[in-house]
Amino acid sequence: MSIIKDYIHQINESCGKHRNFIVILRSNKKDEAIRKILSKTEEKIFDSPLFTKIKIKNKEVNIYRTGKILIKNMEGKEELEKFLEEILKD
Amino acid sequence: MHLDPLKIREDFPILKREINGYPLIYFDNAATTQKPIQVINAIKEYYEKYNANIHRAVHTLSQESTRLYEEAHYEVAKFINAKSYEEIIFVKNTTEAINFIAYTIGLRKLKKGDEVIVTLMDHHSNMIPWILLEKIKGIKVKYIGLNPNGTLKYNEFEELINKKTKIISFPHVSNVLGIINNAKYISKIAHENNSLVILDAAQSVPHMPFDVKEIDCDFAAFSGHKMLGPTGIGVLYAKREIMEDMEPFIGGGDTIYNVIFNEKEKKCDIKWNDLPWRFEGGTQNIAGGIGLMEAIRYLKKIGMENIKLYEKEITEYALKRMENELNKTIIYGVKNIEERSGIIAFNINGFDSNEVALILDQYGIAIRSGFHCAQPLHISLNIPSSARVSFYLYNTKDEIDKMIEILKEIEKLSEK
Repeated sequence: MSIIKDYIHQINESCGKHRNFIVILRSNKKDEAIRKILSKTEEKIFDSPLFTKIKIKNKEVNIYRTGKILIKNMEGKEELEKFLEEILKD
Repeated sequence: MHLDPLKIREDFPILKREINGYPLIYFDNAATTQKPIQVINAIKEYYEKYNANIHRAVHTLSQESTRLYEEAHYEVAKFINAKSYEEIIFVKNTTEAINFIAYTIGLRKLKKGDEVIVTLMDHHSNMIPWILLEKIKGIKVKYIGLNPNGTLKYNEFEELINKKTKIISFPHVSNVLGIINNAKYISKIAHENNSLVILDAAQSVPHMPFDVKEIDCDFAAFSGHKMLGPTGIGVLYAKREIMEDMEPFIGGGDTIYNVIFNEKEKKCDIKWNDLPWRFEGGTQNIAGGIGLMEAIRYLKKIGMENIKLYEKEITEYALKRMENELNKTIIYGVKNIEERSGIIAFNINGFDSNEVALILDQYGIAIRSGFHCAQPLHISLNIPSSARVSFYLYNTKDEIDKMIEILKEIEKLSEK
């Protein structure tokens, strides 16, 4: 949980059977967090000026330059938190 | 047309903001609207000069705040052409207004087996109160379906309505598709069958001339914050003849005229207060009411017909550009501009609505994504979720152009 607290300012959850989560990084830790997440990339779907879409552990992760990250198709918050701890660790 | 959006924008301090290094383009007006300086100042002035609790007190400050708060009710009554201020009950928002009816009329007057008709176009706020009542009272909630273009299946009103139907509750304008429903027609059918009519007017009152007498609804609900007013203040219009025998929703201060303790019988004899105060228990959002009054004065000065025409013009402009220049974009709802308001729901093939909204956010463009609290509508039309832009009197064609340029870039990405 401490990794999440260190790097993440806010998490917003969308409605629906499979949840999308919008994770907002702390502005002072944004660049560091994005570097860590990108280092875990298993598949780069595309990298454009609009956003970067990668796959980690079979989950799609969109990274936006505003420091917002969209993580799709999670079962719920518990799965998301485990996933975030995994992608934000050293 | 006498509406100059550039002049209007000068009244809105927030529109001078930059978001992510770009000038703010605010296209999320169906969720909430921005506030003109006149409204901000009215609230500030209230707290600086008139703040006191309303009614009862004899001191001057209280009389001044009471006068302003009551004046706000008169202003709302005139704005929607109600018979009198007695038909105007201030609540928190549209949601509370609908719940108010469910927990007064619904809970006290409906019996097990009675039926309430809503529509699959409804916002959750006009479904959940009735579903809750279904669980509490054993009433039956019935749903009017949608055609593939999102319009209501009007024939189903006559099919579903019967002697058990006590309430028909529906949106005047869809908060997803912007479709304007024929409220007069539905009210007529309902009344011919002795049913009450509740109109969710959250997306209509702020955007077009609105007349409760002409529509002949029994109740109408709308929110102050969607019409340039502050959050935390909304309106329930309720016909006097229906409410005059009704006991309060929330009991407390100001709902009563007298509470006399009967020593002999060891109980209180209560005489209820007059309308509408009987339904405004406890200290109300006085500043909110005053802010709403100022918002209405601002809208009236510009003219609701002008606002309606201007929104129609920019919506038509946006729809034409989107249809002609975007190849991978699906726009939902009816084609005829006369049947829709300034709300456009869409999707870009290959992209989730959240992805579209997050990309636009990088350029300072605020739009909504997801279900917009209308999941049954999305399921009924087989739409996974949708991106939604919603305009108001301060939006411009230039802002629409900027959004379309980004949408084109998104479409290019889907080709990769």
